[in-house]
Amino acid sequence: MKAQTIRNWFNIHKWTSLVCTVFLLMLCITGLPLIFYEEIDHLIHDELAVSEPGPTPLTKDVVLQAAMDEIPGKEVKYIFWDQDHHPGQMFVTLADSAEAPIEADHYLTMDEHSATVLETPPNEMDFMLVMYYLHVELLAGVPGMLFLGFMGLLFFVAIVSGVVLYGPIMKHFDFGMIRTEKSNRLRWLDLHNLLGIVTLAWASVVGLTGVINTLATPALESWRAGQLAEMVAAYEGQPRVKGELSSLQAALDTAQAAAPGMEVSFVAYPGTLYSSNHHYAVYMIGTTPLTSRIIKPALIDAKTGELTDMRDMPWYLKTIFVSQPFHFGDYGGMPMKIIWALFDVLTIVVLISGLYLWFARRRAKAEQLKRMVKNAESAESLTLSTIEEDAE
Amino acid sequence: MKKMLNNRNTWMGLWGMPVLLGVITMLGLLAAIMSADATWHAVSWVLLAIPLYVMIRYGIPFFRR
Repeated sequence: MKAQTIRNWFNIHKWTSLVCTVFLLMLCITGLPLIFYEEIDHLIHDELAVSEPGPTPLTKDVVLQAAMDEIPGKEVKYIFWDQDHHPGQMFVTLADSAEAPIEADHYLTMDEHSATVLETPPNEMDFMLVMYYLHVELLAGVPGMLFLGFMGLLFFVAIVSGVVLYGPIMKHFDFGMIRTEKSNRLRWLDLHNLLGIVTLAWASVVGLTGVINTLATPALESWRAGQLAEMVAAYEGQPRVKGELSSLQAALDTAQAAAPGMEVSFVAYPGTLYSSNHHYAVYMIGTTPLTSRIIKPALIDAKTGELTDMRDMPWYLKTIFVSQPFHFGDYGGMPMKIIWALFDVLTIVVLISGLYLWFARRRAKAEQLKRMVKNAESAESLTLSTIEEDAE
Repeated sequence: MKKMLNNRNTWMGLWGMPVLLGVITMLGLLAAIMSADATWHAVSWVLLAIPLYVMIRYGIPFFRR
């Protein structure tokens, strides 16, 4: 590689790293507790005790009615289930109206077996939510999310340029050598190179899937305006369904029958962002770590209870959803989470050592300059004294 | 002492370990996601532990001065 090419790649590596390092450090630090979200959540909140299932399961309509009786005069927005982590529980979101902003949502955790309220968690930020929103959007909404996406892209360019530089630097050395007997700077450089090259695959996967995740909101917007609008085109312009809605349980059963082998993830009620004015939107998911990310919405007429449409989501949304677990590392049990945390910590070391190398290099350069100035000065005085001697 | 300086590093000598560790990491990531099966999870842990071990094994001299 030509010296100029190396210099160019060095500059790319330096500048992309310098710009993104602070944000990447923030992402690595806030990401650490998020890996263990579930466990920390269990520590903070007591495990809710779900009662034993009765001989005949209660219909979801009965469970939902109990939630609505708890806070009268509200409308249903969404209902969620989490079979893996919270079996027997049904999460209901109520609000003044289906269009109300999320800040005024009421959350209820229902016991599906007894149709009783287990918990009404407050709609407010706690420590883990602050970590989450810092990590996802710098607490700055969609612009913050896209900004972090751009930082992630710079991080990836830094990784690629780092790999390019690894070649000429390591050309004459064995893998993993750490020179401790020379300067501190070389010791840190070698550590930076070792950890950087070994975390390469992990950091690239987590970095790129993180970037992809930041596109989720605009992608969902585009899906709502495109495919979802198309699916409900026949109902366009109709007012919101009023009065008695068709049975929720029947809607779930219909969706289940239409998508065998899948389970219900959540239901969006008529008038909410993720449905039409006229439908229950029942979102079905698969049952393996990968397929549980592939969502298939079934639209069910909330008056007649008929299935009116069900489609696969477009490729760009599938890509985003499928890439999510690769970012979270939450699909391989506790050991995987620990492995994720270790890689995260080692990435922090790569970032900090990179920052140290930048400082150390600047200092070394400044000292070199000082030496040169000093040498120049003494050389000058030497010349002067020679001239003076000559003059005598 | 291990020879650290070699003036004739082959392509494999330079990139062999990085490529191998990259492939192991990717296989480790895929092993767990392709199935919810406990065996595959264990395979994934073992594979992902390899690059971590390499970093510790080669990183230790950093602390010996």
